[in-house]
Amino acid sequence: MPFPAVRLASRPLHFLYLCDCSGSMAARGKMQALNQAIRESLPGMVDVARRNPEARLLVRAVSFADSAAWHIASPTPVEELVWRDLQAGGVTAMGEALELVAAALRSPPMEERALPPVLVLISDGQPTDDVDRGLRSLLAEPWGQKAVRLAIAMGHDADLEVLQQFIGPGTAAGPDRSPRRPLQAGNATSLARYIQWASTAVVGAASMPASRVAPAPSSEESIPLPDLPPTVMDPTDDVGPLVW
Amino acid sequence: MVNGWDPPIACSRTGTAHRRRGTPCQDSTAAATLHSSDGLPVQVMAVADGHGSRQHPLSAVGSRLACEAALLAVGRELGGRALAGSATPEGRACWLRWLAGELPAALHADWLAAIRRDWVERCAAGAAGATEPAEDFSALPYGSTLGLVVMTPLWWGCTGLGDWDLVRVDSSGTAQLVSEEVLEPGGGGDRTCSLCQQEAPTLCAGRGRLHPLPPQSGGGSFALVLCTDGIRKGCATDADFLALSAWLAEGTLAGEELAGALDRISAEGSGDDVSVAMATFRPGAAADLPLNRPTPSVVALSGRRPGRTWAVGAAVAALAALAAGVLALRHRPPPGDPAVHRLVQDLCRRTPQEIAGTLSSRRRQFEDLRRGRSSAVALRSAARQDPLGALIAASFAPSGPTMGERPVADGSLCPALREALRRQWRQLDPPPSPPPPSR
Repeated sequence: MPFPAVRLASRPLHFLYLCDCSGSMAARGKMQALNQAIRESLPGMVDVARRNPEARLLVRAVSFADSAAWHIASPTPVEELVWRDLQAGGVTAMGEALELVAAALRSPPMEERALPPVLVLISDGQPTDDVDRGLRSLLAEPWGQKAVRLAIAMGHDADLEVLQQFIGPGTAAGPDRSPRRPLQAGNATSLARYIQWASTAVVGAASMPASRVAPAPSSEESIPLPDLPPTVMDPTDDVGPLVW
Repeated sequence: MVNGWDPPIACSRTGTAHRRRGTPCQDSTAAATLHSSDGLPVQVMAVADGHGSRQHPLSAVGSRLACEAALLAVGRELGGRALAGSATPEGRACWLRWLAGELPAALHADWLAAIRRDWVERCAAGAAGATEPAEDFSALPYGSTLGLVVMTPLWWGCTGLGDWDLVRVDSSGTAQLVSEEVLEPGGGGDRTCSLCQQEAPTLCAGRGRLHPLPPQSGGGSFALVLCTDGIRKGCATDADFLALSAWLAEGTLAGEELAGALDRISAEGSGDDVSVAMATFRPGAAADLPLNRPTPSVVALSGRRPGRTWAVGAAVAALAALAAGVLALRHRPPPGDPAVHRLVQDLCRRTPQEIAGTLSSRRRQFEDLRRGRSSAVALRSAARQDPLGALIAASFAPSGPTMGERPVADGSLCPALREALRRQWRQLDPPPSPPPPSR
């Protein structure tokens, strides 16, 4: 009996960068380091996508400065993604960025059968708008709650408390470099390694179809996160040509 | 065919993602023909999906034990209840309460007891997965969903918890989703309810449903397709899922063909384990049944081994043995055993060449019987594990040179099967002695 003409499809895995493009990112090569780290992570993401064909990896990016805007608006298959450099200038409308992402995570357009999305928030400073409202909007969305939310602080001026609120409750007992806490990138090398980890190891974990019991306690991770790479250096170490 | 319901077909396949990673299949399926206390046959089918995440390392075991517990609980509960009263609204309300409340509580208790036994055995044996002392037993490692459909001559119903789906396909091929898990609006992701939750019996209440069947003179045939979430999540849209369910329900897929279809669904879809159990209702097909049919028979129970499909003889035997203490089974050897009935129906749908090929593969059994190396009684007693062996044994007449005329399966052999059996026996008969030369 011939197989029917139905559409079978892999499950979408949405990966979203939320990138701080405020004026302070222009200092000390931070913007260049971020662009380079993301660009260099793409081959690894393509490899992860190839090794997990049941998940269709789709990338988008939001930039926020005086306002938030889509840098890559359309969910783009990672194989087709060409990274266009972000530019720095303005303040830090992080709250608006979170609201933009919250709208994108509503159903529709989010697919019912999607895998939990991965959100990576990267910032070097303090939000200048109503970030609490943005966080509320994001976490009010079911897909916002289910998302794997990571945060990378560039330098020592980022608001770690806001980044922690974005991630969710941190682990009470655990190293400071737990994935459930903001990752502090003190230089381009560590930033690149964190971006690489988020875009490959975490995406690989998120690609695995495994169900979880609902309703889950708030402290339960939606996806068990892989360990951080062991060679990540403490941000206070002087490594690399520039330290933020 | 039993009382309007075809015996269910059930199949589980390891997902392509799991095969690639070397993890076992987390899904299980089961199907059985049981009986109520007033002797009416009841078809039962179940699917279960172990969670498979790091917190649930024994969920493959949990899903298997969930299916076993479901069949045991239904069989035990049915054995103490008469179905005749469920023709009235009051009677059906009582059965709905059973589906939504009493049955989930019973099977949850059975499941907890089964996983506790498994845990104790693992701790005693130092087996993988049991890293804690026996006294630190928890249901969490065994977490699994469970979907269960009960099909009687007068109604059918479902219960359970988790992200399984139940589709009804009518005779025109129109498919309708009749039961699904709804956790929250806007998407459930991969969150689901589980037997490992303390409130599992309460969570089943929301999925408990009872649907009366039309009188024999009215209504058309329809099929029920019960599946784990791997199938629906492998489809691009729900419309594709319903169309796929309708195709699966056409009833022509079985065995390797069904397994191949499920493999394709996983490979081109979500990569998850995929399981399906299906049954068809045909009104007007009910037969007058004696009221005191004693013997439940287990049709199929899928195992946990990667790539394993269905009708696992060892698992069937184990489940039958497990059920014996509860149900006080009285074994009825063939002829007339339902497993042999079904085998005969299946064979008689095939071509004469296929029938002959099937029997030829058992050439050794024919020889052993003819030469006294095996016992026809023993083969017939093991009908559930080896229905074909029982059929061959039933066709054996030790005192005669040709196939005995003992009726098999109430004379329901088709001519092609009967002839193929005769041919096998004729090949073992000694050649006739040549006539003495004439003088």
